[in-house]
Amino acid sequence: MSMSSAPFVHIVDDDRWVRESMGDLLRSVNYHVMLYGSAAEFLNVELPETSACLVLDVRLPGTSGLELQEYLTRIDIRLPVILMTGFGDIPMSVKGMKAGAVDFLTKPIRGQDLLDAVDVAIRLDESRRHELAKITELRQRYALLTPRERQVMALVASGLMNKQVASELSISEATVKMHRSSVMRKLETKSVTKLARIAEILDIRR
Amino acid sequence: MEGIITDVTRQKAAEQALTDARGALARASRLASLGELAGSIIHEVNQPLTGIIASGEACLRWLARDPADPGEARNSAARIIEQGRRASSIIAGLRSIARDARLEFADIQINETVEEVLVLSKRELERAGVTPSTAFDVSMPEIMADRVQLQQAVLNLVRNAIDSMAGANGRARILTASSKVADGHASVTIADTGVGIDPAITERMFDPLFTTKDEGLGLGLSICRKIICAHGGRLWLEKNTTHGSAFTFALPLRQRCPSSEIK
Repeated sequence: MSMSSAPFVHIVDDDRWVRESMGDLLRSVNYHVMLYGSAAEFLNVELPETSACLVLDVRLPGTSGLELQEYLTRIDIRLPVILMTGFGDIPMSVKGMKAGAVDFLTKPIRGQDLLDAVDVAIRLDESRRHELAKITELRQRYALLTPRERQVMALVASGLMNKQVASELSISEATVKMHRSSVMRKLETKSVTKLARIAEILDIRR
Repeated sequence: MEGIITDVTRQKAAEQALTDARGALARASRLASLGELAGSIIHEVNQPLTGIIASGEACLRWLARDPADPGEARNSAARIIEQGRRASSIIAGLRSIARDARLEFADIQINETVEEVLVLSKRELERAGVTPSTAFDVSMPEIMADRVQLQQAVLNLVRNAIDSMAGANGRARILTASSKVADGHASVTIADTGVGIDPAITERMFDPLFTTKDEGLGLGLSICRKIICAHGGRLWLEKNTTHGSAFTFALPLRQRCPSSEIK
């Protein structure tokens, strides 16, 4: 899979100087950085299709950081979130962590802490995207199967022997073998165990 | 004719008294919001600090690149300077507040001073279902003190007492303000019938930013102690049981060399 383009870090903080300085630091270690002054500004942009994370100030005018975090979860945008908090926002941060934030940083933030948190968040997003890409690829491969091959696959994956599959579908065992090897080829797999695993991931049942 | 002049003089005196009272009240409420202020100061100063740290580290990283990127490093340095300026303008704003915290000593009646705080807190006391009571030493002489600052200290103690009684059910909520003259000192005690103070925290409760309240900033008692100390006095926890606690402060009857500022 290609990860050629640098990861994106989205920073939402209503303080222009703070977001620019944090963007400065992240750019110096080769991240792409996008800066926003409010939740609304962030929601207005199309997110690029690369690994990314969101660095979010808890205290924002209008929609608060926590509200934005909740909203993203609700609309199924699974961007890893790092919360930033000022003085007295600790209870809010606990709420944010419970809602799935990767980390929370208390201002003034040490540069290395920010870089570490972003590193963890980006890797999390990469592995999630990697999983997602794998599933998409499997779906595409599965789409190449004929209806008959799909039937054979479901039965084989459920643990039936060729002979049982043949009688289930009222076809010859030789035909089952032919369909089965075609399925394996199209899904690029060599073992029945892996076939069963793919069926599970794609939620295919007999 | 004489009657009219007397009336005008009286009226003027009354007006002056009203203006003075308004001024004192304004100062008192400004001090009351000191807690809120501290919270926003911390936030305001943390912002540029966060920026300065991030840009400083960025600057080093731009320079450590191979090849170094002096253009970006220069921008980072400019951001550091700009945010340093911001921080210093916040500090400059604070100086004017600090000037207001100078003590103004005058001969005051301490019983009256404390009683006024109870009058000011009447609504708060009523809302919390607390009955105020007083036991003042009538032989109390006048002392040299800053009336408004002392009232701020008493107000903080009264508010703590009210909060402490919020959790006390099934018994009367009584706040007692008393005074006493002894050993060359005037002492004032604010006692409540609340739930008391966890003995584990009595060591730390005078520390700035130490709080047990969700909404608190942990400045009340530390401000109290600062004010009392600035008067050459002492503030301590007099009594602490699960059925009530009491704070007492003692001020010297004769101010030898009052410090003029709260440090």
